[in-house]
Amino acid sequence: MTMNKKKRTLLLILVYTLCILIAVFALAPFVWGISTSLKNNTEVYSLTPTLIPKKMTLANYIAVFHDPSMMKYFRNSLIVSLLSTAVSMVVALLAAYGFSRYRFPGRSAMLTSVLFIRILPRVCLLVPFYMILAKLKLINTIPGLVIVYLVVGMPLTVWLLKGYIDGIPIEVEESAFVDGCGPVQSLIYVVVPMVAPALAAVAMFVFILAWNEFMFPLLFAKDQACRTLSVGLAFYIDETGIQWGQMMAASILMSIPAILVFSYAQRYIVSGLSEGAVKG
Amino acid sequence: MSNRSKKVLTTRRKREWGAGLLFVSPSVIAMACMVAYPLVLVLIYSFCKVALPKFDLKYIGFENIRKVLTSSQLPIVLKNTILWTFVSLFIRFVLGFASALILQVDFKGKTLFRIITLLPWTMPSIVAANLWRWIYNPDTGILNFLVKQINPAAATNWLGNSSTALMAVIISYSWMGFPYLMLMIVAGLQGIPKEYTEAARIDGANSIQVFFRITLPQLKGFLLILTLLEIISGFNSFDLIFTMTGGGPGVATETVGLNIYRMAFQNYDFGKASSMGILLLVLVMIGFVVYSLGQRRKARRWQG
Amino acid sequence: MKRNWVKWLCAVAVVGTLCTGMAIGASAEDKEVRVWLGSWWDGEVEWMTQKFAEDNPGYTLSIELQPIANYQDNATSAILGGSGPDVLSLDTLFLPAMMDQGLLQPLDDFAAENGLTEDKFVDTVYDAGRTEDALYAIPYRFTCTSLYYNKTMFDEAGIEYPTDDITIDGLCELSAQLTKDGKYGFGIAASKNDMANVMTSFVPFLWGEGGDFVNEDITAGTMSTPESIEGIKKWVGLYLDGSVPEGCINYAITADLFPLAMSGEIAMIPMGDSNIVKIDEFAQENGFEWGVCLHPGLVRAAGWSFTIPSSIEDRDGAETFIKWFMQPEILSMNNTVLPALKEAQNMGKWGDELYDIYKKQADQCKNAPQTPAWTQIQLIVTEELQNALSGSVSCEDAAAAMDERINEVLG
Repeated sequence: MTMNKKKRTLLLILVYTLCILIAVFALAPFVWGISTSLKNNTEVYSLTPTLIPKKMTLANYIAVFHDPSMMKYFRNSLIVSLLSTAVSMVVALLAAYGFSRYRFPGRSAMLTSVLFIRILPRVCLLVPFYMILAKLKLINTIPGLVIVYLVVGMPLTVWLLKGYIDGIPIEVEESAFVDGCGPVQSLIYVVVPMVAPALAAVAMFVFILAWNEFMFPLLFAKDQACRTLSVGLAFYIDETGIQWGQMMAASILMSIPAILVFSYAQRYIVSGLSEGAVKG
Repeated sequence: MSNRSKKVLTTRRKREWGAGLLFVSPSVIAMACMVAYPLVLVLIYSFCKVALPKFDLKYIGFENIRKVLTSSQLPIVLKNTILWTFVSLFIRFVLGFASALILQVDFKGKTLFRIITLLPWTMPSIVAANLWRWIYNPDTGILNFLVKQINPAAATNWLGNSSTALMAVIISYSWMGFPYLMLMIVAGLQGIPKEYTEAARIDGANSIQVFFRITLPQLKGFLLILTLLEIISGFNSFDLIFTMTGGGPGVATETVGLNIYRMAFQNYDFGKASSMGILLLVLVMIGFVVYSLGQRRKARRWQG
Repeated sequence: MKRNWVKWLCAVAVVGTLCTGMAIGASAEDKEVRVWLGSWWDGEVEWMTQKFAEDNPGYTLSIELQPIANYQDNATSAILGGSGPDVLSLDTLFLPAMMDQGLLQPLDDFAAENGLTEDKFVDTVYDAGRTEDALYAIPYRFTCTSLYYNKTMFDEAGIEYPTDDITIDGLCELSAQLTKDGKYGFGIAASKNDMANVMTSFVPFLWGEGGDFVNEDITAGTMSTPESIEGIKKWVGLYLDGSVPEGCINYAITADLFPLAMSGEIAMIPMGDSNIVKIDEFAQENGFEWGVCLHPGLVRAAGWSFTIPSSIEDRDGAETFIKWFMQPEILSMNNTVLPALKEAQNMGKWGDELYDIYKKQADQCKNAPQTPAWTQIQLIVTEELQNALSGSVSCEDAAAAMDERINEVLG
């Protein structure tokens, strides 16, 4: 890691420039969104857009907190997302490990068909999914949504984890095997720590998929009791226009749990390296 | 993974394939329950005229497929879809890679940057689509307001002008999707043993050489899957375009995914929508086969 | 640490899947009647549920609000999947396709038995729920647009306010006169993501000149007739002359034109009954005065109706609800939508003079062609209109393309 001072300064300048460019691009709509959420109805549509509202108001945020349905939707979203993440991670990890480390009849066929799930257009899945869930009596239930997200996410979760596991040297598992570990134990104690970055990335992917998804909960989880936040946001759009202030306030509040989950999961992505290296 | 150890493990594991099946069973069962049925339906519907509400079927052979392939709008819809998919993929990769590489460097503000770059991903698409539509609004949008301060002539009707509409929508899509790619790349980068890059540096390689000779090849498998999945989802996605322009002006932003949605839920022609899905499947399969043939030929060349 | 969390995760997954999500059981005593209404009805749910239970012992009302986004796909999937509501509200625009696909049940006998006949309703909306064979929808809401104008902007320009007998040409003229200093006289909607709005904006010009989309028996397109082309020219002309904002090619009325009008940037726009109540708030804030008059030409009659999906076997609950809600006293109690029942239009808040203009406009209204191909026709017309607006084709060529494509769909 020897880098002379001049090189390091140059690198830092490059890094900071890129940093600022990308950060501005990523943040700009959010800043506008936050600014909007602090305005009242009449100022939202003002023709000279202002970043700092002339009459700053927290009324929109308060309205969201005081809305009992919004709080319920929030709870539902949280449950569905966390549950989907847990279930998907477990199932995908098992599948990825099986596909990667074992050969069995029908393996390639099954693997390719997992990928094909993604190819079917969402639109073509809506009605059949509805019918299947209805037959399984899972319409308007949280497990129903969890299964949908599990299946929809499988192309990514299984393939990514499998690719990652493929790239992990087999030697460590070999030695564990010699030490008398069965397949499950070697999976849990040996492979998982090395796969942690991919696992965390997959978890974040499923969490966001479940958190932000609109069409599936709209169709499959209509009941007030299991409606999610993303569907709740659609209620701010009706024929009289879009209630920007409240929608942005609710949307910003809704991002916070996702950000928290990310900050937590980030640690696993980065720390994986130090744990996973194979020593000679 | 060295070839010898692979063989050792494979032989041993071959005897235990029952365990393998057990591992994959939850996912395969879920898939069989949920996906087999729609897949079969889509296959059947593409060759039938589907009458609702009981889904009565009347076999009409390749009529649906013929209608799709001879539609006068097909060339421009395909062109839009390809641009939409590949250009936004490129932008997302560039942004994602840049961010991922930046995060490999230690600098002050790194954690903040990490969180900021993930923010676009946390916005649900219904909000993001409407927000970007508003930002692009020529009269009340913040973008034109800012552009006018610098150069009034450059302020144009971003979403209403057929020459800028597609690019505008692509940029919004890239904004929404680059954090996800960045995340995957960061995860992938973590899997590259540090020894490789260090050894290369000791041998005198500079950063650019390290990136192209070591990093990229190691990530290849990973990136390939990502690319494939993103291409497929680019062909199928429609809700962002639908909210921002509805496919307009004219057919400037009309894509395959949007067309399929219209077929199914506005024209109630499930037969035609299914046949478009099947055509997509065939297209991807062809691409897949071509690619693996190419790979096999390359591998044979190396061994030969 | 790491080893434990995997086990913990497995446990959570299993337990969670088993425990959460029990089906909601309905009360075994009362008959539950499920009704779908749009999300803007949320202020009415409480009193409706209460009063329904009072007036109809043995039944409970369960109103399920749905967002307007993807409303039609939502409804369709529910019906096809077999668990649609007892009563489904539908925008009249959704009706032709859904009627044609057999997704709704006929209501002729029910309507006749309960005196819900055409003479009691605004006829255009009632008509929209009929095909040659049967009546499938009973309208509860009538809506159309009139012409809103900003009195202050007219005063500043020294022009007389528009009156009820304003013509299409008069409208175009006024629009040109009022377009100056960065402000516009009028606004049109041409966004492809809300084609119903486009039709609302466009048809007064088309029908006002005597043109129409298709011929009487709906066998061929008639957009290339001189009258239709005249209508197209006038509408597109507003955009090409610059008397409407440049963004109009991608604008919707409520989402985009309304905010602009409320900020005082546009002098006149088509205004529906749901937005008319919101104007005062902005008028006070931004200091302008406003008025409404009849929209020239023939405006599009729109509304919402009650239907019974084909998936419902026991119609008793559905019929009880519709019968109950269609009483003028009950219907007029709602504060959200203008009733389609003529008697109810003069009761409650709907008797207010604010709504007089819409009752007058009801005589200057017309339905879009009643054909299941309407959604496709709407798409074709919108696409070609956008081409004409962008200047890439002339109005005549756009009209010819429209007819060619419409004939393909109908033929």
